[in-house]
Amino acid sequence: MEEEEHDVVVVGAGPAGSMTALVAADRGLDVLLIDRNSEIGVPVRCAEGVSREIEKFIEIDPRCVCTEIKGFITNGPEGTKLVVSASDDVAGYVLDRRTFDKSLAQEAARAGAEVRVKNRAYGVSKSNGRVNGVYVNASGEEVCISADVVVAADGVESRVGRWAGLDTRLRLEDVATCAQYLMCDIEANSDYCEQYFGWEIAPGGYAWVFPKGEHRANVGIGIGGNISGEHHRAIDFLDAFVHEKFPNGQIIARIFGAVPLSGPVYRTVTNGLLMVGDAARHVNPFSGGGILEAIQGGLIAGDVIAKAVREKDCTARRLREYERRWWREFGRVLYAGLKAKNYLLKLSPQNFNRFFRSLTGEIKLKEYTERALMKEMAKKNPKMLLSLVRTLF
Amino acid sequence: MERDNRDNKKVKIDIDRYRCGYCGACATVCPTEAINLVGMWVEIREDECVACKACVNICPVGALALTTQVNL
Repeated sequence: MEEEEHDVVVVGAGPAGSMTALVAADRGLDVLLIDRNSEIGVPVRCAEGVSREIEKFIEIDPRCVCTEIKGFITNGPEGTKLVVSASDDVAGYVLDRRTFDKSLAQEAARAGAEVRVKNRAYGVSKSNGRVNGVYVNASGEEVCISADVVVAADGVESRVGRWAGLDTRLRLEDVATCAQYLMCDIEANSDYCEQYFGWEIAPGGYAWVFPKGEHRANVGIGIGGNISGEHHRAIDFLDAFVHEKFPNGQIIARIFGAVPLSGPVYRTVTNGLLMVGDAARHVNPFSGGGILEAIQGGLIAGDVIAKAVREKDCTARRLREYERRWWREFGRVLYAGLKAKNYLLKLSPQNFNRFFRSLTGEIKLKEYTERALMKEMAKKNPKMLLSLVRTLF
Repeated sequence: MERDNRDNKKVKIDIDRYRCGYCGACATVCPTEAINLVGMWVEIREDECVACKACVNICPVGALALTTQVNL
C-alpha cells in the first residue's frame, strides 16, 4: 500500500471540512482535503437557507447566492402566520450549495491545502491508542495517509469519528428524514422562507418553501425518523404537500437526505482526531439548519489544530480547546434548540395547535439569528420559555 | 443484538436501485455499518446486518426491504 504524510488530513469537503482546511493551511500547515464524491458540492442534500449571521464569519461570494430573503414565515397547523423579518430587510440567503461548497474548497486550496476528489476514507490507522492517519481508496488505489490530526468532516453518516471510538450513533427519533423538490413555475413568496407545521403535513418535523429566485423554490419536508415507515414516508408527505400547494409546478430536481437532530455529540475529540459539522451533529435540532455551525466549528477547529500541531501536542487533552470553544460559541444554542424541539414534540395534538395559535403577527428583529427567533417564539409561549430559560438566556 | 446471521437465519436487504435516491439515510442510522454509501452506490454487507430494520423505516422513498430466511 502506498503511504504518505501530512500535518492534517480532512475527510469531507463540505463547509465544515473546507473551513477547517482553509484555516489550518492559512496558518502554514501541510493540509490534505479529500472528498469521496467526484464533484465537490454534489449531490446537494440541503434546503440551502442560512441566516445573515454567516457574514460575521465569512465573506459570501455573490455567485453562491440564489436569493436574498427578508425573513421567515412560520405557518401553524390552523393557518396562523408569524412573520419575522430583519429591520434592515436582509435576514439571510438561500444559497446555491453546489457553488458555495466549491468556492470554500477553492479558498482552502488557495490557502495552500491540497484537494483531492473521489477519495473515500475506509478506516483510520492507530498506534499506541491514538489516531495517526486514514486509509483511503483513491479512485481505486489504496493509500495510507498519516497525519498529526485527522478531521472527521464526513457529514451525517459520521463514520470516521466512530472508527476512532467516538459515539456518533443516532436513534431513529434523533434523525429527520427528508425529501425535497427543486420546483419551477411556481407562485411562492419570493422574499420569505416559509415553514409549515402540522401533524398532518409533516409529523415530527415541518415542510418548507425556500425561494431560489426566478420563480423557483426548494420545496421540502422532513419527518421524524421514528415516524417514517411504510406508506408514510417523507416522499409521500411531500407529494401530498406539493399536490395541495403547487399542483402546476414542475420538479426539476429531487433530493433526499437525513438531518441529525440529536444535539451536539458530547465528545468530539480524541487523540489525533476531531469532528466538525454534521459529523459532530452541529445542527440546530429546532430548525435543522447547520451551515452556520459548520462554518463556526471549522474556524475554531482550524485554529486549535494549528496551535496543537505547532506545539507538537495533538492529544485529546490539547484538542479539547476546540470542544470548550464550540460549546461556548454555539453549543448552548444548539442545546436550547434541542430542548425547544423536545418541548414541541411532547405536546398533545391540541396543545401543539394551541402553541402555534400564539405565533401570529409580525416581528422585526434588529439582527436576525436563530437564537433571536427561538427567543421570540419562547416569549409568546411562557411554558416553553421556562424550559429554555436556563440554556438560552 | 448480533444474532441473525450468527445462527441459522439468513438476512437479506433488498434494494430497489431504481427507486433509491442515494441519500445515505440508511447508512446514517445503521448501527453496525452494514450499509455504506459509496458515491452513487449503496453497498450492503449482509453478514454485518442485525435485521433491526432501521434502514427500511428511515428510507425517505421506500427503496429498502428486509427478508429473513430460516435455513434448516
